Amino acid sequence: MRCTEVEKHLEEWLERKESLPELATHVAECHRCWQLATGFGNVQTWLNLLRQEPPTLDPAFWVRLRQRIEAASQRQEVFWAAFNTLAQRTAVGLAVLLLLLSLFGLRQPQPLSITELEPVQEDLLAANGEMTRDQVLLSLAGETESWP
Amino acid sequence: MLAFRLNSLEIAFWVMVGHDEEATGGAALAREEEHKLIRRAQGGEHEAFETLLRRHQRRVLSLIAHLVRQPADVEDIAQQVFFKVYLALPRFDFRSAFSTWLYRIAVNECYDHLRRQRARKSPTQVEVGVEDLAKLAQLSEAATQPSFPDIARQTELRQIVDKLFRRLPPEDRLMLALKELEGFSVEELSTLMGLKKNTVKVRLFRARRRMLETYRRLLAQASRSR
Repeated sequence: MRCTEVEKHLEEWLERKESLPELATHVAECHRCWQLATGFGNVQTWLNLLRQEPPTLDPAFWVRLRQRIEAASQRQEVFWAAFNTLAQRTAVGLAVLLLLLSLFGLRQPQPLSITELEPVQEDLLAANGEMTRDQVLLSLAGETESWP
Repeated sequence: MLAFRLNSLEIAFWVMVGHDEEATGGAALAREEEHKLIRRAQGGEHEAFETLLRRHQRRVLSLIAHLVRQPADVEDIAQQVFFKVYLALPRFDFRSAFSTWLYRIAVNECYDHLRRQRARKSPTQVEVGVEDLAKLAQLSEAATQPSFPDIARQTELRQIVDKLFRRLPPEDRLMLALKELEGFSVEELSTLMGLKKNTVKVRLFRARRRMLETYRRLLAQASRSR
């Protein structure tokens, strides 16, 4: 058995030490694995000390739980009182869904028109409100000429 | 007459199937009874809900006490767990055992609590002295001898181990507490946590190694400072 296999089977070995005689043999011969197995055995012994009886509950515990549940049920009832049938709930749900879709899902961003960026001469605009490459160059040349 | 003959057949059948089958039958009956209770609780019957939880309360409380290790918090967490069970019960679909489902809620709640606690304060606030570590080393030797430490010494040692345990990250504490203190097998842990068996083994290995490393590091620090 190799050291890596020991690591793999150490958990089973800790559960039932007699179940893996090969591992026991390797651990007895390999110092590194012996240290690891002994250390893990120690951890197990230490942890056993932490075992304790479960605490008993305060008698008022169940009363408090019941009150909490009743308060939650009432809140739920008040909320759903207005929509007491399944059909109404479905209708409200669908209406909310449609509203959300119309607000966020169906709204598409508008493409920016060049006219929004910069006022240009009316005659330079193409029919669809956008400029061709030549028109852009012409407008830029006009601006440079008018500079002092 | 027919009823009598059927009863006789029933008796003969139960005699034939033997003790083991009786035990299995008993478990099946208990399960069936629990399912009835769950259905009644799902229907809004509070008494059924409370009876159901009272049946499992001991194990849930033990689980919380071992994971959280602060008596003051146990009842609050139990309250939160049972309340969450109430909220989630209508969605319980009987695909897993009720106990597994309940313990999963408890484990998640404890894990959240440990993480919140860890975020609030540094784990280094729990001091472990060099004498404490030496006592712990002696314990390992004593465990193999016939005279195991007396009650007073055990209490003292428990406090030291507790300090060491609290230094571990929540994931490690969770794994070690469930395995060593609650006695879940690797297979049960795999079902409970929704992990593969190998993953459970790896996590347990890491948790044990980390506890051992924490102990060795503290021991080295303490001997350097001496």
